[in-house]
Amino acid sequence: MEFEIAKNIVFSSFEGKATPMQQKMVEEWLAKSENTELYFKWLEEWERETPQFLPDIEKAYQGFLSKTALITEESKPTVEKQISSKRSFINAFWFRFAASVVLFAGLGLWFFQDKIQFEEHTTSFGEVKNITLSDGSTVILNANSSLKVPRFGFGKSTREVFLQGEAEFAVKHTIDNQNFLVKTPDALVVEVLGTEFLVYARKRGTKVALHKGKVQLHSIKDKQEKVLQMKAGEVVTMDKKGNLKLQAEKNIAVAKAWQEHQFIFDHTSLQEIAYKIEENFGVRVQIADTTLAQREITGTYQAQNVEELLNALEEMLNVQIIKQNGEISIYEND
Amino acid sequence: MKSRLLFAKFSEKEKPVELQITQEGEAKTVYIADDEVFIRKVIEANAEKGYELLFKRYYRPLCSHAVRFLYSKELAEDIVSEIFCTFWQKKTYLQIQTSYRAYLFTSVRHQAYAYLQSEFGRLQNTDIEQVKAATTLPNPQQILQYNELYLKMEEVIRAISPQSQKVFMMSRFEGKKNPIIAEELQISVKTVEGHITKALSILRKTLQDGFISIFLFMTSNMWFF
Repeated sequence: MEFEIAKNIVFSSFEGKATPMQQKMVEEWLAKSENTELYFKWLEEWERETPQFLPDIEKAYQGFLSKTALITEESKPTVEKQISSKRSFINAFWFRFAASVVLFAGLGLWFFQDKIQFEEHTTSFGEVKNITLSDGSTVILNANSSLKVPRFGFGKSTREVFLQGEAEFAVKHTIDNQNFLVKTPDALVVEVLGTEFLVYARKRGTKVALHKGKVQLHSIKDKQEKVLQMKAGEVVTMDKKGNLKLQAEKNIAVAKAWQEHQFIFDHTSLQEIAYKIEENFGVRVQIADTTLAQREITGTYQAQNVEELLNALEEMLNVQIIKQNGEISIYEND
Repeated sequence: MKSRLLFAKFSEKEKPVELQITQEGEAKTVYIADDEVFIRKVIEANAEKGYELLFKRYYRPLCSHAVRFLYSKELAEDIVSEIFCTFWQKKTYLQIQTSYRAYLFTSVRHQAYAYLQSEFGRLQNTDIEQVKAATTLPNPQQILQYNELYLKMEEVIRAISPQSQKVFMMSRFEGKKNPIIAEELQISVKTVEGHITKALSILRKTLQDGFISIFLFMTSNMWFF
């Protein structure tokens, strides 16, 4: 049917896929001026099917209204204030209604202020999440962690986030040199301008590892602020009293490895590995005796889940690993 | 006839526009529902409401068409918004003999072309005023030339090196500032500028030498057709 054929051919001429012969055909077809309308109808159809981008229609229309001053006529509130007794009764009703709405909204705000104020990103056991903040900084959130970002005012004058768990930050430097603060539950503040670093803030303690650039740490526990300047390649741990201890990182890769589900052990004790498993996968690990717990392991292992890691450990250490009721027990092989 | 059936349900209420498609010497009548009838009716009853419908219906496809020529979201939106404003303010929408669609698409093409000319072309002044007043349909050559123009733009941009293309798109299409592009791609601002200059000069060269001159020759002949 010619009608259908013409449409296909016109569409391929839009796409630049028509042969020169077909181009000629379209040209001849267009010579009939009635077809011009049909041509534009199809052009519209084609643009709807293969849009190059999707602009915000509502925003554009508002722009149009304000430009053509239509807005003054359309959204002018209708002013008719005639006070009659009937009106005032209705007004009283509406006033009460509004007041209770405000009251409930206020209560709601109070109860959910944390939810309203912050956007919370959380990861479950074994999950790693990539987060891009509104300023372009990126955060890789490790398993069993949470990151709270203020919904309002983030990036206005300062950038401040709250971390529980373990995360790797790549902070964008802003033109106005805004600082970026990471706060942890045990009152450690990591202050940076733009750099890459890792923060570990779990029950066992808090640790910061710096890959690139400079950061400043403020320990504000006990109202006695302790400040420490860190350089690239350094690791700082904080003890329960809020004292900061600086140590040069042996292998910065160790800290970054979990992003690729890699486990790097460098004279790492089995006890330490047990903690890691607990934190990353949420399974409790028990080690039968202390000598076994102190055995050290060196090597790199790729493991997507706890099973894979345990199988590797079982073989390497020649131990027996038993899983029971969501708990893992490690025994010496007899 | 399949196509007659296809459009029958649209044309029950409104009188359809009758079109003749002649091919292989045989004349056949095809019905096309004039789907702008509704908007036109609303505009008659309430101009503002109707114009809102018109705006919201065509804004996106027009922007999408404009950006094929301009490679900039911002420019495309500016041009389309501007067209809608003049169309409204001058009450052109009451005067045109064609469909709104044909008028709007033709205007977008004219304006986009005028912009490209001011950016790349050798001609000093453009006939924007004249273009705005164009209430008649363009001729086939013009229509196809515009087609060729945006396809040419695409061809040129596809042909530049991937890195230059990436920088060019971030800068022009997305409207990002050079220092931001530099930071995102981990290259220096100078390199960013270099890529953009390179892409633009290739575009300029192709458009000036290969295309615009012929195009102008055609339009100057055909304009008052």
